[in-house]
Amino acid sequence: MNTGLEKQRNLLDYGLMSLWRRKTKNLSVLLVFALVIFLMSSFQFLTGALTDVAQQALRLAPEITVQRMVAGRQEQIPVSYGDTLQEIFGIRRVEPRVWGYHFSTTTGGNITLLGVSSFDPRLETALLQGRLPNGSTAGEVVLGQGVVRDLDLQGRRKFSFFRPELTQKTFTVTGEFKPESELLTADLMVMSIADTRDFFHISDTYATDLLVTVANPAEIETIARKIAELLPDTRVVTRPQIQKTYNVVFGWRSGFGSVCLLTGLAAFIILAWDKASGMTPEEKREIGILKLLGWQTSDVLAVRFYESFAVSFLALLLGCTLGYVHIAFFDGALFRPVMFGWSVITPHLHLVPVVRFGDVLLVICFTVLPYLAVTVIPAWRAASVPPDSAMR
Amino acid sequence: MMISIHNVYKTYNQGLTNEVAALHDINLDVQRNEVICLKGPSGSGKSTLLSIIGCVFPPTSGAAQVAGKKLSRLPDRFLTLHRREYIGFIFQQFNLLPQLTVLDNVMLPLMVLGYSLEVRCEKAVVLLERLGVDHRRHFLVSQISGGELQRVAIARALINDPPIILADEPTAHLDQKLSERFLGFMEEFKQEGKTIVMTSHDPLVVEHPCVDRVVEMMDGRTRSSCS
Repeated sequence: MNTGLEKQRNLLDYGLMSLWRRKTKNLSVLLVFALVIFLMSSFQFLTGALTDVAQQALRLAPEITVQRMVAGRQEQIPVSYGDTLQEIFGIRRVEPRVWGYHFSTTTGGNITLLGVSSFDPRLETALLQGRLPNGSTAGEVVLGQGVVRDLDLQGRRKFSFFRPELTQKTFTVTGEFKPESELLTADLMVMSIADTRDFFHISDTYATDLLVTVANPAEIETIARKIAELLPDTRVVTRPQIQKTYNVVFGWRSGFGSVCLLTGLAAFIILAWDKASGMTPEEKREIGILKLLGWQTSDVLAVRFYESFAVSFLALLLGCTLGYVHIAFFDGALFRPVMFGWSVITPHLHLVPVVRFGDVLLVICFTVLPYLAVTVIPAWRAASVPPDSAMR
Repeated sequence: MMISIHNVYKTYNQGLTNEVAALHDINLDVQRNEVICLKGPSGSGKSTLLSIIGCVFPPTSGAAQVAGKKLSRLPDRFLTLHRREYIGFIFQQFNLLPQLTVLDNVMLPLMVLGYSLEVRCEKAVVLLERLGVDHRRHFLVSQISGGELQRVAIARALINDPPIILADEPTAHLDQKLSERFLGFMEEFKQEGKTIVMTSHDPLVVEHPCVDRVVEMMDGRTRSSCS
């Protein structure tokens, strides 16, 4: 083998031997370091998983949603606005949608009742079991998993809600949404538009909002701008905007959590600095002896680098693996309250961790690199002293 | 000439309030295969002179040449390279790493030369056998006796086969029997052509037949020479 390579192998051997000699001390550092990386990678993986779930779920979301605004608040929109929109070149279809909230006394939270005039066949793929309402039979609904848990149907297919004026309306469950889509469907009851009009007493001439489908998805933003110009009393929301909002919200929450974690990270860096700069007289003497025996400052530094690299690499591996397990098998239990927000019907969705190169790189930048710096720099200072200290 | 020291001065902490002049106008020539002993009380400058010969640091002024290389202007990196090739150190306190085994301690100087583990082991075992401590090779140095420590330190000093051996108060912690054994080894090394510089005020060393010359030191100066 090449002499230079053999020398580096020898130095690596010596570094690993040194770690083993001080195994109690190094093991404790490794565990604390792995804990910090676990917390940080959990946040990153959880954010990635949630963003991914949101992206998947939003594939079925309307391309453009048009809502009427009066005095800064959303009001019912006349269905006739749809006829005006049909004039815009590039719009394929305009459909009214009616939705609203029903307060659930069992959970103390709101259930969203959403009625559409036609069901996108692609929605079938989002179903765990059953079918979509056929639209002609009154009272058929598809439920999100949060509503299923909330209603505790236990095999029953029928249930009733009280309308606002306290008359009863009966629903028949035809299907359930998949748990994977819980981020968007947890508190959702999807039914025909006629049923929501009936439940909320909304006339046929009005809707909550209008859903616009465009011929060319690349023109979504252009058409949205044209809609806003044509109907100045409306708010136009596009699918990319919703996706961006999810990314921002999760990014913000992840960032907020990460800032909290930075305190722990800073404490760890201080601990590592203290450990490294507070070299014991024995460690300093060892460096002096090695230098007297012909070791260069760079050789001593290489040994210390290999030690720190081995500790940080193992901690990274352990921390990221634990982070992955935390998301994959425990659904990010530690950080769910932070990341899932204030919804009363908390989504119980099962998350699949998304490991992106950028996320791992971020974790490395915030943990491994500072650790290498705070351990190697003091070692460089110690290794720069003349070797005669070992002779005294 | 193996070692040539002319008008050498060494001042520690130069320019500071705690400045110490350790060597004054030292002149010393050591022939190849010569054994000399630097004798003097504590603080006389013996170890400082040994450090300059051993390329640990350069002199403050004057000319120092070891194995044909002028040390005065060599930066630390090159001093280390020269030391690695030409100098073997034996220390008063042995300076072995207590947490390593005997074998690992002896192999230390070879690690940075890029020798494989097999070659390092082979060389170390040959030396340990010669010095009679190979049966302790897998012991931690904290588990062996003073005499064995001394022999392990000698093995480590010789592992690179350096032409110059420097020994700082080598018998200070040994009884008479072990000191005689140590001097016996030095005699063997002299016969093999090594140049040896020792510091000591032990009469056993000073008067040993293998010592060619004694250089007395006092207050950082060489006082007299005798053979």
